[in-house]
Amino acid sequence: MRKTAAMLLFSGVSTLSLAQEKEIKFTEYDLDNGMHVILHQDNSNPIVAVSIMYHVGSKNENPERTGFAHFFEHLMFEGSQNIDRGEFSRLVEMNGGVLNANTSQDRTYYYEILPSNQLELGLWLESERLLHAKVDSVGIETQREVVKEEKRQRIDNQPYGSFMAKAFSMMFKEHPYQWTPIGSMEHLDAAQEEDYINFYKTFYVPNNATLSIAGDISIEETKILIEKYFASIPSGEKLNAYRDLVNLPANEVAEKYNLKEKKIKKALAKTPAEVAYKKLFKNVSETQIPIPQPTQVEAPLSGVFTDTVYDNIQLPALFACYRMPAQNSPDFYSVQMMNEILSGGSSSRLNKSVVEKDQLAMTMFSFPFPLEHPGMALILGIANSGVSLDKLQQGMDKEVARLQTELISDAEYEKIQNSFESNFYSSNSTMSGIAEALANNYVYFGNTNLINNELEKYKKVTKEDIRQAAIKYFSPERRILLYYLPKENNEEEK
Amino acid sequence: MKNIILYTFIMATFGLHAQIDRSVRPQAAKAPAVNIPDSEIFDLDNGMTVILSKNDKIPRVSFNLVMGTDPMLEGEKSGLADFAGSMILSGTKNLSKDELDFKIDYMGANISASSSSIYVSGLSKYDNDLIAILAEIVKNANFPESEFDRIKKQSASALSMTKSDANTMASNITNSVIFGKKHPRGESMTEETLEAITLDDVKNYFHSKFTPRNSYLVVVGDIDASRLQELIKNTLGNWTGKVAESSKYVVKPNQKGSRVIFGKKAGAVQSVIQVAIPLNITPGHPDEIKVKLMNQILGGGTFEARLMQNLREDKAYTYGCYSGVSIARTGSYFYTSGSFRNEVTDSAVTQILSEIRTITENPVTEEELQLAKASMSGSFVRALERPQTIADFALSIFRNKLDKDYYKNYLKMIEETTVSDINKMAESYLDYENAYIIVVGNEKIAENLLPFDQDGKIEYYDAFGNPETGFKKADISAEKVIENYILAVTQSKTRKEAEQKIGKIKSMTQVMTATPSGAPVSFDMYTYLKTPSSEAMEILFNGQVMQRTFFNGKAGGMESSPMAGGQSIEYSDEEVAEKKKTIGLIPEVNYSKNGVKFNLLGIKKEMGKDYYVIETSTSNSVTQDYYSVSTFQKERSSSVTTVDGETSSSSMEYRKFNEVNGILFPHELSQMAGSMSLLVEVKSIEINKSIDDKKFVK
Repeated sequence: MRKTAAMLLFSGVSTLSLAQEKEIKFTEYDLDNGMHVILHQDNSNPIVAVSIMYHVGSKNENPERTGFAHFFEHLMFEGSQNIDRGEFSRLVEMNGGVLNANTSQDRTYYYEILPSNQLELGLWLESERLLHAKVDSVGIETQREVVKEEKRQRIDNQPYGSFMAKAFSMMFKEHPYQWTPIGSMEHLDAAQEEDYINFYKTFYVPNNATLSIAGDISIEETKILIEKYFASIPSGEKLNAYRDLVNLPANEVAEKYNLKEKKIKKALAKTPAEVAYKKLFKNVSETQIPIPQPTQVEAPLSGVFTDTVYDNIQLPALFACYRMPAQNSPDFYSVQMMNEILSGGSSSRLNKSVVEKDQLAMTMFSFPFPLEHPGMALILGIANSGVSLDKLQQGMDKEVARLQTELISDAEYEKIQNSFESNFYSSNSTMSGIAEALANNYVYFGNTNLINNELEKYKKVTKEDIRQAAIKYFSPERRILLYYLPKENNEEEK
Repeated sequence: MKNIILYTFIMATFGLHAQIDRSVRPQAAKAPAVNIPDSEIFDLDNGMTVILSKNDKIPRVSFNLVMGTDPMLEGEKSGLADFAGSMILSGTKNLSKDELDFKIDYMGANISASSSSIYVSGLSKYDNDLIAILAEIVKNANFPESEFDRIKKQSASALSMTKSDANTMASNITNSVIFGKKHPRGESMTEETLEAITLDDVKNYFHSKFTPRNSYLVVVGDIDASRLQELIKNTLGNWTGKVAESSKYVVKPNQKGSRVIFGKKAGAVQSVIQVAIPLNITPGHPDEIKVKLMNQILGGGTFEARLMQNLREDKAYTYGCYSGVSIARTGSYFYTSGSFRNEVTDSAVTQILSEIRTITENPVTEEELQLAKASMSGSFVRALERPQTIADFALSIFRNKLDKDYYKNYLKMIEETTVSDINKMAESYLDYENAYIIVVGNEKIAENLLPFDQDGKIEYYDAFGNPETGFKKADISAEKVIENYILAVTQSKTRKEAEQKIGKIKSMTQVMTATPSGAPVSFDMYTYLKTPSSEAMEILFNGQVMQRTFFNGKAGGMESSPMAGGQSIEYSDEEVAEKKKTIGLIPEVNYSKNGVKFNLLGIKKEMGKDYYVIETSTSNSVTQDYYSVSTFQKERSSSVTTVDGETSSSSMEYRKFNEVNGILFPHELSQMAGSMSLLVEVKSIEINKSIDDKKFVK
């Protein structure tokens, strides 16, 4: 079953209705190899954001290799068949662009923001990364140390920095959310060549990638360039065969694919690998291989679990963690709105009552982690000097209990609606913001157009829904309580 | 069939994708034009300048009210301006804080205030309410006592948190050493200065600083000029006020020699390193863009910059190492930043300094410059995506008195910079030999940084950028320290015995040779003492008296030969009175009798030894004497003297104690004054030899 290039060029256009004002228009379609493409055109400033979201994060990791997805993200800047080590960033920067990437529990996201006349450069770079990235041992060793420094800087040397790893490990016993994207440094040290090859082969394939582009482009010209750089990438076993052809010595390729070594050498002498593979592997399947996703279902929390962490901090802090629904479940909207009541802005309840009126905390936040599978929300407070964590916990619990018993007021309800509207416009005010939002909506919600009707989802949530969410998800009987206390001097590491 | 024809057509048009040669790097398409729209600007009668940058892409609008004056020195109330800034949103005559907060949140708006600005943004459908709230706050903010108490408590907690935040500690220290404590940017709030701030201070600050005179209202977003003018008329338009006070501050002159300044963070696994160098440059200076390009090559935020390539990509010492230039009206400096694991902290400093040095000594490559240009131009163009940028440009043109086309010519100025410009910038601005090396981290690694410090002494600063006193609490009293010293120096068992020994000495003549460090010559020094209260000193070169000081208990002064400056100075009455208090072979003996105030600061470690430190002061100097905790011998002494606002410091070390007439005298002294050092050897000490009284008078 093969679609032709023609079909995808003429069928996939799904420009939206013009009804809504300030609507974000986009075009989306699939390539034959399974890659999803989303394009947004805005010619007001000559820049373009080119991004690829790979649907792989720390939850796809082998439990013996935690931190691997993020480490791999670092390695993906090391170069490719046609890009030498260190050249990747150089090419972007010398053409006036910026680039970066980040890895979450659920996905890995790469992007370049370029002057719009360098669109093709961005596409070429990302196609190199997808088709035949190359990593050598120098790169691996260097990035291993860099990742360790990143962990020290972002986690070990930050006050309260260990809370995330701690909270997730207590919240999840079955599901891979039990570790965080930074993972274990021992696991990274143990990683072998085999691990790199398998990870790339399994997850860095077109049918696991969403290419999202926003900015000063012409849709038609961009499609042609995407044809050139991405539609030509094979899928399934054929992609594996191609990568073997560029990475393995000819005799091993011959043995693995039951070919004559001579034939391989001859083909490679005549044409580059990206042409030669077509003839050599004519019979190798191009059927897309499904991407493995974790299936563990975490049992609900059975009670209250507490732990105390002595850290290099000055003020004690309390972290209360609750199990949350997946971000694409309708309940998640209710949770987000409840959260906005609790800690959105100065007039939020936690701020008014715990911070300002009772002065128990210097600051309080609450937020649900937006995760693909059922995840976690936390409410955290940093105690004011001289306030005990017990007191702070009582103050916090009182506000959560109020949400469980009373409906929020009409004025509060209108307030959070306005707040979501305002946030919506600010987060979609840049090209990189739009490119990422479009990709997120497609990957997690299967609905790219959510960018234009997300506000409707919030409008549908009722005051009673919010109360129900508070009852269902923020139970004082089922949660994790982390107490952070200042380390005494004599407890300092020896 | 139709499909096949279509397919062939497409392939012919777009080229068969199978034939793509991936080793060919794409070429850039034609460079797009950049358009920087003009802001609309109009003045109000009350002295405000309104800057409007209209953009209707999204239905939001923001108003930023910025005061026209620069910060003021705060001294013992350091942090007042920031404190006042955090209290501005505490309510007004007509709106309690709760009402104000709710009004803002209700509109989905954001509001924030600082020591010199108030910013509010939200959906443009609420533009009228947003500007009305802004006006209500500037006119009627009422600073309730309860909020004052709350913010004070909160600030105390925040200060306490600073002590575990290495980056904030490092920037406090950097600002302090770059600007000094006589400049507003060198000051930061401490627990003591917070305590000193009163509610009246806050109100006075706000009322004197927040005035429409010379202020700017920067408006960005979905609103047009006629509507804006309409909205302003009855809100900010009728706000009145006087011109705010302002003063100019000078940035502290550059130090000589590199200094290592260390901030201790308990249990740190990484060190935050900032190497800082003051820059003599102001915004809009013709060198500004070139200096920024130079910084870009060295460490300005790209992966390709030298610091990143060396310290991250090559050595893997860090997750990121950057440099930056802060160029402002109130003073400018260059700095590097980054966090490095404990074990490589000193190696990282070596590499950072070496990169700074290299760029001052060797030309950058054309390729590096091209990259820096592309990167800076790219970032300029990306910033234009935010409508706020256009308004910021307009504001900067006003505040920094720039040419009106400065930002329109920005890309051109970048393009015109040459390799030799960059070299000139590095050479003339990056004074790497006199850099401040600021490290915040685990105390255990501090000693590793000694080699980077010019005078081999690491200075410890606290989290708020103040030098640490470094004193431990002493176990005995100040009187006891002095008593034990007197017994030690006279090798006596009792005070009586000591005073008897001292009483037998009627005069002393001391002959010394002094050699300045690094100088090929030495000179002779004579000191004379005679009871009850005469004292003199002569410095001789080739047998000629070059300089002498004299004092006979009633008058005294200093004279120098014409060759040595030909000065003649007489002590003032005050100086004579002070001299009388501290004269004698062992001045400590008479401290109590002469009413000398002495103060035991505590125990301090110097060069691995513990000392009791006693401080005495006169009208223009403060002296600290160091008495060994184990022997009570006075082994060091340092003093700071201020004359006509100029501060100078000197220190003395006493070594090789030998007995003369039952008393231990040091026979070797080492003196440091500024960057000069002098080694003094005692040749002879003669007791009770007659001395000509002429030595003690003019």
